[in-house]
Amino acid sequence: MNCETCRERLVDWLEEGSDPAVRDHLAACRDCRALFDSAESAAQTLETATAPKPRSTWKDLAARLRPEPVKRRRWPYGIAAAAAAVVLAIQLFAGGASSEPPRRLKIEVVDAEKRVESSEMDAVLDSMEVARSN
Amino acid sequence: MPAIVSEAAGTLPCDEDLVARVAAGDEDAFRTLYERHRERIYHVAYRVTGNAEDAEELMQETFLTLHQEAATFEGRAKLTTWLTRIVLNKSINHSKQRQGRMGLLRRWFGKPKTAAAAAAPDQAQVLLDRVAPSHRAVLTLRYVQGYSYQEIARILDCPLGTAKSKLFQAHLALREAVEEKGTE
Repeated sequence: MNCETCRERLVDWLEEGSDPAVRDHLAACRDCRALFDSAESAAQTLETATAPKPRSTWKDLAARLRPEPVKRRRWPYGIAAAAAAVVLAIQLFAGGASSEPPRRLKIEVVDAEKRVESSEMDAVLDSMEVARSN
Repeated sequence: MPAIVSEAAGTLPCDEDLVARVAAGDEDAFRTLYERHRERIYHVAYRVTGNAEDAEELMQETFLTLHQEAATFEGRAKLTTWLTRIVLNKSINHSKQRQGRMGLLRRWFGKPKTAAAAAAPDQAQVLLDRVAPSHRAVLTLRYVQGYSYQEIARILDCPLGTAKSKLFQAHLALREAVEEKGTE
């Protein structure tokens, strides 16, 4: 028996360990014997491995079977009430300072490519000045 | 609700009956299967990944797969064969992805110690950590779980000769790894 044939029988040898041809070869071949010894040693180490226990329980798995529905985030009533009070106070304060309705800022968008004559620009600036003084 | 521990006839229901019940939506049957097989499935995942937290996750994922695909279980193989195949595939894929991510970190920071190597009580895991996940899988099946070659072939879904060849390759890889470790 050559080394290749012997090694092909390693797995069966580990199971049965009774092949005379393999035994004879191992007695004569140091390399193959080293491989077989190593494999037997590894097998023994693995066979005596302790079994660690899982920590998770049925509850953990059951929770994954019924994923909680996505809840819409709600503001706590206290925060909502406080926010409403602040908004109301601002409106009362702003409204009480003047009897006139609050002016709205008018924003005009001017096309950047549109050429603005200097006279038009002056008129715009004048109107802004008037609005600010009022 | 408690797991099913006894039937009216006084005998425990077999796996195949329970899977059929799971497919029909019976949660107690599912729990019974979980309690019956969780330790074995966890142990396989732990030995292939070498990581307790990953093994917990993979065990749960395996049972979730069972829950989702119970209707496709045809009973041609034993449930343990089916579950072991699922957890092995998940564990090997997970370990390969993890090794890919760890490769870059290892290049920067050096080789990290695994939990088993750091604590050094578990010689079996120290040994398994030296070879590729696919080798760990077949070594775990044969020696840690004690499956026969025939059962290993069924789990790996390959001919008997191929299963033996995989085990032989795993032994060679283990020997090479041990020799490399000796020369470091």
